[in-house]
Amino acid sequence: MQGSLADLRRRAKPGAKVTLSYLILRETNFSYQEFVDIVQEGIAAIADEVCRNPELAQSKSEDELTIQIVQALNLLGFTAYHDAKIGGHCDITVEEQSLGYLWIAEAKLDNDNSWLMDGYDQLVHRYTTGMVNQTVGCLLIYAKKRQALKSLTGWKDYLKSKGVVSSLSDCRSSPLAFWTTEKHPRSGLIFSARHLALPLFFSPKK
Amino acid sequence: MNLGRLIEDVRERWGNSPAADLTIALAQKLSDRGMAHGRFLTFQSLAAAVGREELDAEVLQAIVALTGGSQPFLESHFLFVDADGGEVEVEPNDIAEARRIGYLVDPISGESLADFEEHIFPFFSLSGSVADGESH
Repeated sequence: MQGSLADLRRRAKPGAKVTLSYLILRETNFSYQEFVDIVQEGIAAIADEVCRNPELAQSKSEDELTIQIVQALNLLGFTAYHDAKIGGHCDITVEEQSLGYLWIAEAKLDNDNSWLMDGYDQLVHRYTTGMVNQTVGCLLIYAKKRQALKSLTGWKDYLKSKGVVSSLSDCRSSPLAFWTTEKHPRSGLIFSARHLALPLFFSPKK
Repeated sequence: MNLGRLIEDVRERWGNSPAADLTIALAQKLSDRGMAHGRFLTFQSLAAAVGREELDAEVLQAIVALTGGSQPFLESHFLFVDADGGEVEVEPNDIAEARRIGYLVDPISGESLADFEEHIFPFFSLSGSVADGESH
C-alpha cells in the first residue's frame, strides 16, 4: 500500500533505506549490537557510493577521504565526527549519546602492512575505551595501491603471523571484510574490530 | 527546542549543505501556525511542505534531524491498518520486535503477519513545545 513502511523501503535508495531504518530504530530501546549493525549498513551504503567513482578518490588524501565519509554518515542521520578527542584524535566516531553507544573507526591507506598495523594499534590501544557498549570498531582500509582483496588478504596474513589478535573470522556480509577480536587492553572486555577494504584502486588499461 | 538553537545546531553539524537548508526550511514551516496544529503529518506531507513531490534522501535526513535529540521538533508514530481499514497505533518497539522475529501479531485480529510492513504507516506529530508555539 502506498505510504506503508514496505512501500517506502521499496522506493528508497540504499542510503535512504539506512536512514529510514535508523529513524525507526531510534524510537525503540535498541541494543548496542543493533546500533553497530545500522552504522555498518551506513558505511556499506557510503562505500558503495565512494567506490563507484574511484578516479575521484585518487587525488584525495587519507584525511580527505575520511572527512567525506564522516560527512556522508552525518547526512544519513548519524551523529558522526572527524578527529573527535577520545584518547587522541579518532578518524571517525559515531555515537548515540543518549545510550552511551560508541563506534570508532581508524582509516588508513593501504601503503603497507606496518602502516595498517599503526592504524589497528591506534584503534584498539589508544582511541577505543573498550567499555560496555563501546566494544566494536573498524579499521577502514582505503585500497588505492592494489586490488582491495589483495590488500585485505595480505593484511590478514600479516596479522596472523604477528599473533596479535585472539581470533580472526570471515565477515558474512562482505568478502572485502573480516573480523578480529582481542581482549581490550584497558577494560579486559572482548573488543571486536571489523577490517573493511574499500576498493579505490584505479588503473584503467586505456 | 528553540528554532534559533536548532538552526545553530544544524549549521554546526551540516554546514551550508542542501540537507541543512532543507532541515531548517522544514523546521520553519513546522513552526508556522499553519502547520502547528498538525497531528497527522506523513512523509509525503512533510516532503510537500518543502516543495518536494517525492520523499527523497534529503527530506528523510531532515526528518531524522527533527525527530532526534532530547527536545525533538517532531514525534514519530506508527499506524497499523488492516485489510478492512481498521486502524490502531502501534509502538515502535513492537515493530522492532517484529523485525527481529519476522512477524507482527495483528493488533486487531491476533493473527501473525509476515508482511506486516505493508500494514504499517509511519506518521509524525509536532512535539508539544512546537505545537504550543514555543519554538520561536
